[in-house]
Amino acid sequence: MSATSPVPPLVPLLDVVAEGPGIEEVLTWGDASDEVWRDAAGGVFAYCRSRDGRHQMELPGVAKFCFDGDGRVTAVPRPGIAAQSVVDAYRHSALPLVLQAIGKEVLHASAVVINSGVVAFCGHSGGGKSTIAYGLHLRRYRIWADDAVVFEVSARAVTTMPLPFNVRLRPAAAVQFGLGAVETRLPGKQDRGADEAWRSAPIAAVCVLDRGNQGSVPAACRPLPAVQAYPALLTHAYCFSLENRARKRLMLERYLSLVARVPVFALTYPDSLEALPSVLDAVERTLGCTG
Amino acid sequence: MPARYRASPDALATRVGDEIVLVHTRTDQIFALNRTGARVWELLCGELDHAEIERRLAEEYDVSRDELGAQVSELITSLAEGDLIGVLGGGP
Repeated sequence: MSATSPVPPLVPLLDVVAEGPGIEEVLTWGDASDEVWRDAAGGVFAYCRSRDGRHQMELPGVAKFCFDGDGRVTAVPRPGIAAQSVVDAYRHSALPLVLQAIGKEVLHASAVVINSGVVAFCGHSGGGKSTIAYGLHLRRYRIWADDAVVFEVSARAVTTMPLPFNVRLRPAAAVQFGLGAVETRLPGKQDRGADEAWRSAPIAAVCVLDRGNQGSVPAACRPLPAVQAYPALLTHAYCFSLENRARKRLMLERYLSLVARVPVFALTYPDSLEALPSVLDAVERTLGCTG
Repeated sequence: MPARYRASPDALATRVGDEIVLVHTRTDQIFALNRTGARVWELLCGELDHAEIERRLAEEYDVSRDELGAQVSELITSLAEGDLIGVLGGGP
């Protein structure tokens, strides 16, 4: 194997099928051990279950997914849902949970590349992750991820691997960037390829987004002590299920390693897109970064 | 025989600078030990008893034995209440 060998495929292949043998009959939810993940508004985001090394998940109204870590995921769309919609939902919503279930850790974050590595911006949906990443992109930083940053911890470093993504900007943010008043998708990494630009990279910093409710809050990026950074990052950790204690412990260990080795910052900023330049200034100033 | 301690199997610990961050994996509680507390944790994990921990700390820090004894006792009690340490053997 040469020193320039590509990163092994990370993303399980998706098979979208009309019917999944063994899926329909077992995917009824309600066991105490089923994990029900909810979004910020309280709606069910995903149902997850693991049994005997086999994982099953449902994104309500979209599709059911089944996988066991062999590099393939089978999806059965809900009636009336097009296969392409399932593929989109897989990449954007299901894949982070799939990767966590098969042993990776994934932060709900967007990210850009600076000279010393990747900077992840984690936060709740609609909190400004993609907007900040795209704003930095316009300041010459390459976007690394949109909505999911997968990482691994080794004895030497905390590194992140590239995932396919599109940058998704909400209408208000798209307007701010002169892209029109509609939800906008901009192409990022598209496939399983691993060219030179998309090799694994060290995580240089993590910023936890904290958008204030009042416009007078100045943009600031301040270091978070580990004891605050740890729960803050766990808040934004994708997790398939907490049922398996050994897996949970491993996840907690990895996040502890992350806060021990990587600087974590709280990025506070006003709830106004007009303040975006000052937010980006604060990031650049704090991280002393160049693209 | 004086009590010796060990880290709970449910405890995760990592050093961050001078501090040690402890996490209990069942209760999900998080604790931060300052520099001195972190040193006590290391000595506890070395299966030293209370008196030996005090003696070592007295060598390393410019603090009275009485004050050290009280602080070590308080910390051990807190760690035990948090189920972060268990007693290996001996008395209280």
